[in-house]
Amino acid sequence: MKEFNASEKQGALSREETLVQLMDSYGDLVKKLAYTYVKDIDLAEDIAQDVFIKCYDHLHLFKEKSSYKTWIYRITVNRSKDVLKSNAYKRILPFKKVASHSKEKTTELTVIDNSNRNVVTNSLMTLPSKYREILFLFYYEELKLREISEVTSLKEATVKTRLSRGKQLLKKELERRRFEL
Amino acid sequence: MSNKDELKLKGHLDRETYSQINFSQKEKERVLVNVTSAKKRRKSKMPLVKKLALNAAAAIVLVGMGTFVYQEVQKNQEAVVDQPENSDEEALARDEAEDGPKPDIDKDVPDTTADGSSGPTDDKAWEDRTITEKFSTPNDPKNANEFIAQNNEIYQQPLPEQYADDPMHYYGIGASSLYYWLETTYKVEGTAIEKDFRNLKNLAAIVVLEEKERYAHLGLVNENPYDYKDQWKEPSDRMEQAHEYLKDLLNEINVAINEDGKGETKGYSYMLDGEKVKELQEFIGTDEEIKAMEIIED
Repeated sequence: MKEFNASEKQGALSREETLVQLMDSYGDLVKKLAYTYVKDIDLAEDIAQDVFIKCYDHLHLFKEKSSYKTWIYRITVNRSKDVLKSNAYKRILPFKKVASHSKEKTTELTVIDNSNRNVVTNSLMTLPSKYREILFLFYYEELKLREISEVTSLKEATVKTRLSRGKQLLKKELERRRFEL
Repeated sequence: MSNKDELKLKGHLDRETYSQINFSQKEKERVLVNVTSAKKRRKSKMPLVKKLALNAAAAIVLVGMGTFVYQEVQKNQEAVVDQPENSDEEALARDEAEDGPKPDIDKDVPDTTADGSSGPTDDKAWEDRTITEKFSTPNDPKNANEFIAQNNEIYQQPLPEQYADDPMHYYGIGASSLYYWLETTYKVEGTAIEKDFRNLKNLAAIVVLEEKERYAHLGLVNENPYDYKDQWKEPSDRMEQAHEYLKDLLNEINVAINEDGKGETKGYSYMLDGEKVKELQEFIGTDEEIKAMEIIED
């Protein structure tokens, strides 16, 4: 992933250009992160779009205390958690599907729906979200504990504990599914 | 805790699923369209603000003029009263004349028009007041008619198999969706339709609140209740009854606004002069009771 360097470019780019750069740099990861929370590709798409719209609206407020990456991840985590807790999450389930969204349900969905082959993904998805998020951020997004703490607003010690516990739970689940590491 | 990915999680996830998840060009375009159209909307709001300001100014001027005219009339009348040579007939005529303009100035304009003093009003007449800015995707229903039709269709469909063990959980999700959209986006204006929409929203609220009761005993804080689904209580009778009413009312609103009043009904809708609106109203209780409870968490 090519990281977007704010200090180099921000002054020279318009807001729209900055947004495009951010979407190019982090779009995939934002959508993957959202998917890890909500387990629904349509909703992950909606969340990713919401995240970038929010980024655009708040670009002028971004202070380079953190990197764009952690800033965007934080927005994604918060948005995903809001969605999980509230109505939007429930909207996506069968109720939303009737809205006949013309989303790009091609390879992406086919692969995700192919549940028999996706043992590791399915195992991860069975874990409570509090462990799932940490495992994903640590192992997939390769964030440091400090960064995860910043993104999730959890104490580093909590992140560490959840990472350890999450790993145990995932191992157990993989064993239950007779998956050989 | 070692940083090493001994589970090779990233590799497995990518091979299985995650490498296929990408934020496509089309999605990026949608974001850009959204932000640019929002920008345009903001710009186009400026003349509206100006128009409103002008209207407000015009209203102030008119009110000022009206007050001035009224005061002048009053002064003239006082002057007339002061004239000792006026006869009783003249005084009567004067009183009548006096009674004329007074109500125009003192009357509470909204009350009079709301009462339909200019003629009988149609309490079934209604207008869509959907807040289109609240749409989250271009595919959202465009107005209240579409919203009601879509949701009614969902409620008429058989229960999805995966919810067979807990149908009320499925309907809790539906009610939550309905409540959210009715609260934020799909609005209507009209005597009967507003009552029906309010009842629909309140029924959805009851279902949602009763669903919350199913896991309230777990005392979860900042945790996803769905992670503890196996520990939920059974749905309450009130939840099930609210769902039944909701389903029927939704259908009746659809009949009223999308089917020209033709269709099977049970009598819960004001729009169709339902015979059981009182029963429904008693079940719901007061709006205040519903409002007092927190429905939307975010």
